[in-house]
Amino acid sequence: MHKFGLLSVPIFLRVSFITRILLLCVLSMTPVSLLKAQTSLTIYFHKPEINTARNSVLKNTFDLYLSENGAYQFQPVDNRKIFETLFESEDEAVFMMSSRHYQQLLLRQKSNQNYEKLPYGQQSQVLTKVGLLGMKSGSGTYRKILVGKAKHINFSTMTLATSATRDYSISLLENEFSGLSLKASSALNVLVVPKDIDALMAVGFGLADMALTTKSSLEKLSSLYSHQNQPLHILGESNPLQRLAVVFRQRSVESYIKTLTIIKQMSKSEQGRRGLNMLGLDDWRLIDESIGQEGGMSHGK
Amino acid sequence: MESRFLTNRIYQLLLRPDFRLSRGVSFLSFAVLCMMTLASCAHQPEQALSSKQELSSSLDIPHILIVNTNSQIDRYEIAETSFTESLSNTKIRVLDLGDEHRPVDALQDTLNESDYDAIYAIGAKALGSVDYIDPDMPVIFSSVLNWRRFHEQDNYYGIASEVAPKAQLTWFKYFFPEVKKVGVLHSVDNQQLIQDARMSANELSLTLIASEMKAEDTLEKNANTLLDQVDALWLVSDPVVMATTEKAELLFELAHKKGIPVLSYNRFFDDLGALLSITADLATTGRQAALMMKSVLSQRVIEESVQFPAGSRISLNVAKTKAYGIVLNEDALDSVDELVGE
Repeated sequence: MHKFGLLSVPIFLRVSFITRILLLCVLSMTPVSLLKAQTSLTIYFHKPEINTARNSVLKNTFDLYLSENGAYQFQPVDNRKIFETLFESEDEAVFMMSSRHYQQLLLRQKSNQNYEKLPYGQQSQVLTKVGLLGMKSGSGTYRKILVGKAKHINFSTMTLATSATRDYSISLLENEFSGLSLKASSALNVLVVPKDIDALMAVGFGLADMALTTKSSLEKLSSLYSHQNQPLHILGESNPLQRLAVVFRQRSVESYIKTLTIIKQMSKSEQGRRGLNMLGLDDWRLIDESIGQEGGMSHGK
Repeated sequence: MESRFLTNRIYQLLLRPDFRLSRGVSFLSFAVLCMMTLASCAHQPEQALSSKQELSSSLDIPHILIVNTNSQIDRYEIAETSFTESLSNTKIRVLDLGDEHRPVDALQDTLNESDYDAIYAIGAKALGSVDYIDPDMPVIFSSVLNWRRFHEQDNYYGIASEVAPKAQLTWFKYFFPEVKKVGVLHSVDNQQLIQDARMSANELSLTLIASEMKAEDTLEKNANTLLDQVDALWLVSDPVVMATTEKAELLFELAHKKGIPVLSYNRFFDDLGALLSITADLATTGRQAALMMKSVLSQRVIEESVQFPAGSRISLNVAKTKAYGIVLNEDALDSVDELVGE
């Protein structure tokens, strides 16, 4: 009956009716979405060592802090490629990422011939500024370690527990550790776990043979079991790795300074401190911007 | 080189004196045999090649059947997805029992249709159906609450549903370093678990005060006596203490009245007011099951037929930490997956 009724309506009336409904839908949505897009500045976050299941808690915590300071929103991004695309295309945004990742992106940008061929003015319409570096207990760096119950390593037969993705873990072992032979990395069994301490406990419980974790996580766990001899051996230690970098892409210097100040002052409020703690940090350090633009991440001011 | 060598050897054999008499006959027979072989190869070369490939692929690629209790339910779907993503070079078929009113029949039909090397059963309905048929192949399971029933069963391997008691206590100590005395109510069913937990508690400089309950005991009396002696109450999955939702609610009410925080093994208790919950991370469970499957298929020795989950999902009630005045290690916030009660 319903079908017959619909079919009996002339085609132009049906098209007009559907168009009106669609128009109404678009009109009802547009003001909100446009307003948000126009007014709020997005802080994109990507770190392969932080489990994506934590994205929701990170977003809630940061949004609570940022909402006290203006129209900002925190947006974790799971996918590395999507994050990199955003990094290349967004010209009014802030990016939080590992310093190592940022350096890789800079190198890639420099080696991109098309980019080099662009006239100078077009290359630098929007400046990319590394404004802040994450700190913990006064240090801007940390070390990854490879630990195991056995004193030997065999990447072709052993299982590695890690809180980072498989690709990122192998890349870290290949590039930041010296003296490791990863010829058989394709055969390596990797168990991705949510947290560094999970990785350590996985080795402790015999669920994995090795753990790629941070030195501080091992120290934390060891301090909990202070009456017990530590049965885990450190099989390798990475070079010092710099902590999270905050990269600003903003058109005006005023906006840049305003956003930077809001993030820098996180340690001064309870909600801000909680956000920092959620990332394993306790403060931000202002770093030398000119050094940042050249690809280095040395501490500045 | 090899064919030239073989030709020379055959020629030498035919020239030997004892072969000379029958040399003509032998040579003819050999030539006919060669021609027949060549003709048969020339007839169906592609077919011979493809059947050879099929044979090698069916020998090399394991065929796994995933039996899922209900793929529409998040916790089962996550385990299935992470399991599938972690296994490469494997042929996988999924049987979803979600809408099946006769799951055993559906499973039997699926098993009859093809040969499988192993089964991954997700959830109790799936494992119960597999157990009923008891197929002659390795079975790996996860997301099953009564997993202990399958602990000693031949050919059954799996991931337990709760984080190891030792890991739970470690997380408690990490989050709340000043908690010294932890109380736990349990029945005889959890005696072994409590013994192991007591050792772990000692290693962490915690005192575990355990109170054993029988089915006829009153929860209120036992709980109140225990709550007077401890800094925090630890919940374990117990068929007597946590027999009903009402009992769980009563326990939380009593603990709240005495100002004692409750540490739990499942996010389910967050709504009742748990201070901290340590739940198994389902994606990790699926990945762990995949690693276990690899070991089983390659016939590697598996030390523990049932493993505890390697990944944890932690929820913390910040409002409760303030209400109880309990000292929170703020460094531990980098391990929190969910903040509740805000």
